[in-house]
This record gives sequence, structure tokens and C-alpha cells, in this order.
Amino acid sequence: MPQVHSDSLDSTAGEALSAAPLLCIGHSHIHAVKAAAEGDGLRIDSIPFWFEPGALPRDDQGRLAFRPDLLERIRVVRPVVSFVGGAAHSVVGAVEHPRPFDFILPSDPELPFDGSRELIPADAVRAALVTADAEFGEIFRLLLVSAGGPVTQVEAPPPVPDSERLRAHTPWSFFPGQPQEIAPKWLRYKMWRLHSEIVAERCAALNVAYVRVPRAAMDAEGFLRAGLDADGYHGGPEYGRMVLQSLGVVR
Amino acid sequence: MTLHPYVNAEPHQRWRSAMASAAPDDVDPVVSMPFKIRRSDRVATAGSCFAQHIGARLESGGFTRLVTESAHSIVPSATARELGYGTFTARFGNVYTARQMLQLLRRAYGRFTPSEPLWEGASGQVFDPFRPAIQPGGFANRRECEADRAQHLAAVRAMFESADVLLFTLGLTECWASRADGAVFPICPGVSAGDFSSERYAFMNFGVDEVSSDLRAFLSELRAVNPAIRFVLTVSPVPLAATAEPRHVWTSTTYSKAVLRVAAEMMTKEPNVAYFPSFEVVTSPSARGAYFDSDLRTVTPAGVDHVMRLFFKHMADGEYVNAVIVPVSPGAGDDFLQRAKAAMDVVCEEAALDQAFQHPVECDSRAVDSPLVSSAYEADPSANARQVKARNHAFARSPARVEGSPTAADPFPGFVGVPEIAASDLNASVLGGAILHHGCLLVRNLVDPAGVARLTWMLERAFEAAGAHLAGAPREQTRPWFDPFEFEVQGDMSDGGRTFVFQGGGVWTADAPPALEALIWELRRAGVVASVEEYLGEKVFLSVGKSTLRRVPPTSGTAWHQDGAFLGERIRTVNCWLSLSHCGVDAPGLDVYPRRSNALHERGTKGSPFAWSVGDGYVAELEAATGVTSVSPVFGPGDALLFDQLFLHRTGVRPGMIRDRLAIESWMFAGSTFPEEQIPLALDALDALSEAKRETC
Repeated sequence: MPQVHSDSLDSTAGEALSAAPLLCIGHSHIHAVKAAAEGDGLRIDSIPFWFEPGALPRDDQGRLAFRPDLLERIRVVRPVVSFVGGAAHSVVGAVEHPRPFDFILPSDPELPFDGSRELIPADAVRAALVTADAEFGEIFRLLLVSAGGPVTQVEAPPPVPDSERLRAHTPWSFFPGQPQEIAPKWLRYKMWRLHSEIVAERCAALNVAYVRVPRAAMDAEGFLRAGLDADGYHGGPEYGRMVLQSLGVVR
Repeated sequence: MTLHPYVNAEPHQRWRSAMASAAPDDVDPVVSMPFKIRRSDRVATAGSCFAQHIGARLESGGFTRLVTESAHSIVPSATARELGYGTFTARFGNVYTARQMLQLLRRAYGRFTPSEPLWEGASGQVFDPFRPAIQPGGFANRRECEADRAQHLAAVRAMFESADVLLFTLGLTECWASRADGAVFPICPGVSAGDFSSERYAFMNFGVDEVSSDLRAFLSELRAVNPAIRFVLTVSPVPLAATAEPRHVWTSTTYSKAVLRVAAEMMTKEPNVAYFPSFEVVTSPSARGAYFDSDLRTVTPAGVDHVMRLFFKHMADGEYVNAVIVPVSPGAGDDFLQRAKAAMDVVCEEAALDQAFQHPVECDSRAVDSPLVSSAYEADPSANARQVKARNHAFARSPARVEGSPTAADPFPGFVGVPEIAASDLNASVLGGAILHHGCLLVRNLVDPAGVARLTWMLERAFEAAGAHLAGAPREQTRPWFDPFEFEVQGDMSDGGRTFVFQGGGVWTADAPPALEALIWELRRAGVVASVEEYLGEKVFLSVGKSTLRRVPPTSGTAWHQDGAFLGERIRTVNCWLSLSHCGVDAPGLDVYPRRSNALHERGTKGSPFAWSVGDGYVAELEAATGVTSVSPVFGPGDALLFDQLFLHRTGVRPGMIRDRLAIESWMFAGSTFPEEQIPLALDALDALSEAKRETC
């Protein structure tokens, strides 16, 4: 099988993936890749959960399962690329909280920290992210035991530096009575980093390859390069193509 | 003859009456206090571990517990507790000695800066020597520890300056101090963090003079920043866990408690200083040791209850004398994260939508049990209507009417009014019992804030799009939020009926497919559908005409009625009336007659404005005859009222109301008695899914 030829920062993909048939499965970050593949005429099988509501029903005991027709596709022996989750950092830290906060990233404590904002200990921020990510972790574990082939998890794209990109795509009606402000870029960046660390730890514990964001997709500070996002929150087709390159699916 | 002083002693002054013959629970050594605490007073708490119990109970007793360093609301409550947020007014952890309290004040105001450096753990983590247990595992690095300490000391200053009352529980006389500058530590270095060194740290065991002096200095310096503050001292009844004196731990305990008790007594000579005898209550001989757990150290809940009962009795002003003592539950925090989660769901769906429109998806099985608006975002614009149609076609009338009327015991015997439960307590027997004996069941927070936000968002768009539709906009422009369901005209089920409903502040939910799907998902998730089906003994269905998004203005008309007047008296049904806004105060609510009616009441008489409605005069007579009066519950967003076709109610409109009421009514009909004139919609996802597959592929 061909090797992954990734220029990612810290790709732990390790195992090579075949070019096809490939199953991409997960939440909204899948759409960048799906759009890129379709734009390139590359056929990939995909299970985007947002198009498959009811995909993950729970039984009476609260146990999660895949819908039977989806499970059939997941069980096929082939590489599986997971885009499960990837939004917890945005849930916790994209929109400016009415009680503005900041934190110091333990793995990179010299990153900018705004001392005029409330400090939340990183342990507590991590707990908030773990909570926001818990259901995704459960889905991911289910995917691991269900998949017919090796599973690779793809890191969520980094935040865009421009708050206006996010502001324009945020449904503000969910935040009545508070200023329509996006959180500062460094807070969003640190939140993304910490979330990625949590997912990476989960993948490491489960012996799953974790494909980092391609370096070429980042600007000098580590944010998503201008023009690569779809809506401030998600990557666009060009970013999706870079991820496919990272995965070794296209050159 | 002059009588000696004990002749007229009060009962509480005599051992026999106050202790020997008093029931343990009735022993009250407090007698009186020099001042009271008002509800509006901000009460700060600090002290040893026993003070944690006091702080936790204050709020539930109706007091205003001051917290100047609370956990941020994004922090899960369990984590907040682990990190010591909310245990005391600020995040200082246990303050065992008077010296430590004095030192805290001086550190907060920069009058004392201990030379002790931060303590480093083996893995590079960092501990604050003056609250080493506050961050289990330590801070991640020095920068975080220092920033958190600065934030903490600011919160301590806020506490001292804004508290009306400071409740301080004295715990110990023993402590360890730095030989360099005398700074005292709450815990001996090396116990929970740091490294012990006899060269650097010295043992101290304070005497009465030292404790008294520290307390006086503390009070003096405290009043310099807050002259009006009142000071309540207690002594912890918890014995020492260990002593550093070369003697028995019990001897050290009695010494320590004696010193603290005497010092506290000395302080009561100061104005606005009170002593509250927690120590005496718990260690009283009348308790016979029952207020200590099996380790003879931990105070039992019964002991804490006794202390706090007396605290509320003697310290609360009149309105709180009968305050109920309820253990404090973890703080719920605000709902920002729930809203953010819902918002991100929308953003992520829109990402899917954008992609779908650029790359139309092939025909395959479609969403029918979505938490959100799956069908609304299909590339195929007719998919929305197809999905609702599939729910319609999935209706299957039950083969035969389920015999007999539903029965259920009264889960609220003797109760008069609207019975209410938490969402987690909803089940078929409670639902059925409440409807059959009280006419209805109020379920608080049936839908969580995120669900409410989602449904409200869809409701607002549905009304906006419906208005555009009725103004002539084609459905291509109002999809997906409003996509009129197509049906064969019969009776009120017509375009005219749709317009009539809209003009009355309603949109059929079936015309708003995203809202319909989200609503069904919420009803299923909350267990409403399962409970109703178990109660009625068969599968239930919504209908196009009786599942309605409501935006009722405060100018709405109103009339008492039972829906059985239109739907049929003997059908089997339950309505879930879901509030999406605060209503009943400044927005219309519901007036309800909270008693089971077994038949339709007299209609069109005694002031009734319509042939189908029940007159005000009739309702007044009914109230007089039964002794049950109508009530007007106040609903919050997410609350739901469940009732059937015989429930007597009306829209609750009052002068002075200024806001619209947002709500959704969802009549769920048993298949066997589904009303002929209604158009059914399946609630069951699998039924609709198979129907959709059959129709679309």
C-alpha cells in the first residue's frame, strides 16, 4: 500500500491507507473532504452524520449503536477515516462568554494570555472540553469496535484568526441578551490546541492514528490560512484537498 | 430573706431541664444572639472543614451566601467542587487558625508577602503553599499558579469589603510556620505537597493570648476596610486528625478546643461579634456521641442538621425562622454551553447544507428522527414535504380499539391544584394518574434550554416564512421553514383553515418540517411519547390540525373550553402543551381548572362567547360546588402541561401583559380512535423511515 505522504506537523498516521475504497465518517468537518473529493472526481464513500439523522440511536439502556444499514457499510473491510467530533473547542470557546475568560495552555504556557480576563485553571478548561467532547468519544469508540478496517482520526481544522468570519456565520439568536462578540483569537487557538491534545490522547490510548492538520494549511501563527475556511468554523474544499493529501488519498 | 440567683434561673440555665430531660434534638444551647442576619445580608464563610457544612447549608436556608470567587460557568460542577470553588466565599481552602486568617487578610492587602516560594511537584506541577489542596494535582506551571493567586487575593479583598457578615469557624491551634518570616501554612509542608524540612519550618501551638491577639488584630484590620461588618465565630467540633505535640491526640484536641473557645468568648465583648455554639451542639452529652460518625471525628448529617436548625432559628430574622434545611445540590451554572452546543449544531448543519447544495446528494434513505432539521437541508427541495408525507402515510390505524378506559392510581393523593414533577420523574403511571385524578400534569424543564432555543429559533422562522407565504411568496422561497403540507381539503383542513390559524397566532407544525422534526425528537427524548403510549396502551400519532406552533399576543381573546368539544368526548388522547417562553406573568399563560372532568361540561351558556366554549358563570358555579378553584400556573421555557380532551382551560390573559407567549401544542391521538377529520402524522421514526424509503427510492 502507498505510504501516507503528509506534510503534517506531527502525523501519527503511521499505517498507510489505500486510495479507495475509503470510508469517511463523522460530523461536519467531513464536508470539506467530501467536497474536495467530489470536486476532484474522486469517489469516496461517506457517512456524514448530519445527513444521517437517526444514525446513532440509543436502546432502552442508553447504549449507542449504528443504524443497521450504516453498520453494514462500516463493517466493510477498508480504511476508515473518522471526522467524529471536532466541535467541542468551538462550543466552549468560539463565542465570547458573558463572563470573559482566558487560560494558560500547559503545553505552551508562553502563548498570549490576557490577564485582564478571568483566569480559568487549565484543568478546569480541560474538564469543560472533555465534557463537551464526551458524546463524540463514545461515538468514536463505537466506530472502533464496528469498523471493518483500520480507523484514522483527523484533527479538526485550526481556528481562523479573523473574528469577523465567525461572527458572520454564528446564529446569534441562540445567545440572546449578550453582545455578539467572538472570543479573542488566541483563546480560540489555545482551546483548539487543548481539544486536539485531548483527542490525541484518546487516539493514543486506543492505538489509533491521529492525522494532524497539514502545516501548509496554517499561517505562521498556527491559525487556518486565509481563504481555506468555508464559514469560519469549517474548512472549505481546498482545505479538504489538503487533508486528503495528508491521508495519502490524493497527491 | 434574699433569694439566691439560682431560684429564678431560666430552664435553659438548669442542667436538668436544659440537658438531662430534654430530647437530644431539642437541646438548644444558643438561647439568643446579639444580632440577626437578614435575607439580603451577604454572608461570607471561612474556617476549618466544619465550616464547609455551614456554608453549604446557608443558601438552602434562604441566606445570601457571598461567593466572590466562583467557578466559571463553563466548568463542570464536579470539577468545580474538586477545585474548591464555592466551598467558601473565596477559593482559600480551609483556614484552620486565627493566625492564618489574619495572614490571609494581610496578604490580600499587600501588607505581608511571605518569602516562601511556590512548591514544585515531581512532575513539574506547582502548588500554592498557602492553599496546597485547592488544586488537586497542582497548577500546570508557575505562570498559572501566580495568575490564579493574584486573582484569588483580589477575590479575598472583595470578600472582606463586601460582606455584611463573616462567619468564621476556628479549627486548630496547632500549625506549621516558616522560620524565615513566620508565615503559617494550613497543612504541614510535605503532607499534601511540598517537602518537609525542620530547618525551614517550625511547629507552633498557639495559646489563648496569641489566638485572642490574632483575632483582635484581624477584626481591627477587617473593620478598617469594612466598618459595618458583623462577625460570627464558631469553634469546630471536629477533633484533631493528628497532633505534633508529644502527647495523646485527644489531650491536644481538648487543649486546642478550649483555647479556641475561650478566645472566641473573649471576642464577644467586642461590638457586633457573636459566638455560635456549634461545638457545644455536636459534642453535647445529650447527643451521646451520635453526632460523630464511626471514625469519632466526622460530624454526621444529623449533627449538622441540628447545628443549622439552631442557626436558622436564632440568627435568621423573622421571615426565615422556618427555613427548610435542604442539602445543597451542585450549582447548575448558566446555560451558555447548552446554547453554544445548539448554535454549533446549527453551524455544522449549515456547513452540510452548503456542501449539499454544491454537490447534490443521491437519493437514499432520509432523516426522520433528527435532533435538528435534517430534512430541511436536503439538496432536494421537495424532501421536506416528502418527509412529512412519509409520516402521514406511515399512519396505521390500530386493528381494534383498545378496550376499556385507561386507569391509574392517584400519584398525588389529597393534593388539590396542578401537580407538578421534574422531567426525570415522568412515566406512564404518574402521567395517567395525574390526568385521571387532577386533570393535568405539569412537567418542569421537560425540554432543556438548548432544545428550547432550537425550537424557538425554528418557530420564529416558521412564522416569518408563513407570513411571507400568505403574502404571496412561493414555497420555494419559504422552504425549509414553511412548506405547506398538501392534503385533500376537508372541513377546517383547508388553505382557509391554515390562514385562520395563522391569524390567530398559530402555524401548523406540519407546515414547518424542521420544527416538526425537532419537536418529535424532543418529545421522544423526554419520554413523552413512550409515557403516553404506555398510558393509553397503544401507538399514538400527531395530527396536522392539532399540532400547532403558537405565538399568542397579550391581546388574545380567551374562553374556557374542553378540546373534546371539537375532537370528540370519548377519544383517547394526550396533549403536550410546551412553553417556549416565560408565560403567565407578563405574557399570556393558561388558566386551568385543576380537577378531573369525566365528561364535557355545559357549553354555550352562562356568559359563554361561543357555542363550543364554557361560560365564566358556569365555571364560577363549578368552583363553588367543588371547592376547587381555577389556577394560573407560571411557566418557564421548557415547562410542559399534559392533559386530555376533557381538561377545562383557557388562555390566561391579564391586563398589563406585554409579551407574546411562545408555545407548541401537540395532541397525540391513539391510533384506534384517531379523529376522522384529523390528518395523522406518525411519531415513530422507523415507520416513517420505511415509508420514506418506499416512496423515494
